[in-house]
Amino acid sequence: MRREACLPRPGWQQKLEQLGFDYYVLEGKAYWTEQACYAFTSDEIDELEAATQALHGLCLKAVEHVVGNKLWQRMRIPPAWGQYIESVWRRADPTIYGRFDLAYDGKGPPKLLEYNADTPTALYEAAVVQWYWLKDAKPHADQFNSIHEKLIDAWRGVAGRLSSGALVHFARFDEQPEDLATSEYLRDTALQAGLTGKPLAVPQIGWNGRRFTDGDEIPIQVLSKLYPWEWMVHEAFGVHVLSDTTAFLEPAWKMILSNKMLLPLLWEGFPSHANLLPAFETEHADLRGAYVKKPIFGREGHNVTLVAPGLFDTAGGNYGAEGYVWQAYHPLPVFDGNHALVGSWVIGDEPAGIGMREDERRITHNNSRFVPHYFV
Amino acid sequence: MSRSVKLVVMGVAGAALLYSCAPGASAGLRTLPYLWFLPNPFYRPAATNCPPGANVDCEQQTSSSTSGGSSSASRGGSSSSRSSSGSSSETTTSTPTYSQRGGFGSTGSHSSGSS
Repeated sequence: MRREACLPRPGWQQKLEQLGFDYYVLEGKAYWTEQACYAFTSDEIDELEAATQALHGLCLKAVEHVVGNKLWQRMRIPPAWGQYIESVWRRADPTIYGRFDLAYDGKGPPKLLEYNADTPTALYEAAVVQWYWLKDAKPHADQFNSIHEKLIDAWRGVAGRLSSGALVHFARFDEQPEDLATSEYLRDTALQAGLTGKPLAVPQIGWNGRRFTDGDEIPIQVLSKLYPWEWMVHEAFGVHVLSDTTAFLEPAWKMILSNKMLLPLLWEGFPSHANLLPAFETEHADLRGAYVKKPIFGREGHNVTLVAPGLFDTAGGNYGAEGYVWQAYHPLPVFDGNHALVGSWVIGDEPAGIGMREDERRITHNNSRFVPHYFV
Repeated sequence: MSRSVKLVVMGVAGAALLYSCAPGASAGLRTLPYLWFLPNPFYRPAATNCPPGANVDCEQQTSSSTSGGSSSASRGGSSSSRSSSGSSSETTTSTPTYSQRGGFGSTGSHSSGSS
């Protein structure tokens, strides 16, 4: 694994915009860069794929553990939701996607930092934008990327459980360019799988006393939402979810996996697993003073604090009210001063590809640069 | 899938779909009143004899008879019963005209919920 300097494609901005990827600059800083790329060997890609598959399997066992033992209090999930989560888990409500964030340097095994299982973004960049970059910049190389095909397959699986031509609503905040692109890309792949898709702003979701509806009073049967479960649970319409008249994607059992309490849970269930880091509910002696403190319901690096001998970094935010977990500090590899993070996608139940993010800081955040990759 | 085939699959048509609004996506759905009475589509109810557009009684009977969580669960463990919270309104037979809105989104109005 290495980072290579690359010559940007002539007219690269126009190429990105032609793909609808117009947020390559965020808050005045480059979000997409093709002045560099990450290069992997096929063995390294195999290792990432195998680790992703293994972690997905562990996560499903963790869900069963939480559901079977009703660990709602520990997961900071309102107990009233336990029965609903159990029912959607038992009937195997489908999942479309999730993204593991992994620390990987090509030398040791990939280590799970967290699982963005409910509302992951950077999907379009990983599935489409970097693929076109590969075709232009490295036409003889390959890329760990079957995200697009697997998304369509996953939607076909959903379609198989619905009536012909079923309508799926896609809810998001249009003002957030990444959210909009992710939701629209999901809708695109759903259409290619034969479903009908209709966009919807989150605040436009209605409740008519019996069902969720869209702005045209059409009942919402299936809702692909780019809005976190832990927020929905506490908002005014949250209680209506329990009527179970609408199917949600991601399903409510993903609340268990997008929750940082998953990390200590996994470490308890599978101690010393090669792809896991020690993690605890308190500052534990086994951390030996080198840890990353993460809010149980945190996002995009907010309220994360990193402590290690000679190191301290912290990121502000509004998370942490529900408590924190402590995970052993495992440094990200540094290339040319950039801390590199692997985002490894699970589509349906399969590893599907990666997207590389990098940042000068040790704590990756929502605007950390996306950098394309290839392997030979 | 070969790379060339993949490019065709997700090529210009796919990209062009991004940001399109597909305004006609739900055209005509207003005329399908049976939608109001369908349960969560991921239920796997026993076969129903109620055709689309069947009367309310038929649909509700089917819905209630299949809402006990006894569908063919594909994951182990005891099957739980469907939550009753919010279900009292399910028995209402009149079709409401207007929905309340804004019950989701208050948290996200000041930060992105993506990760």
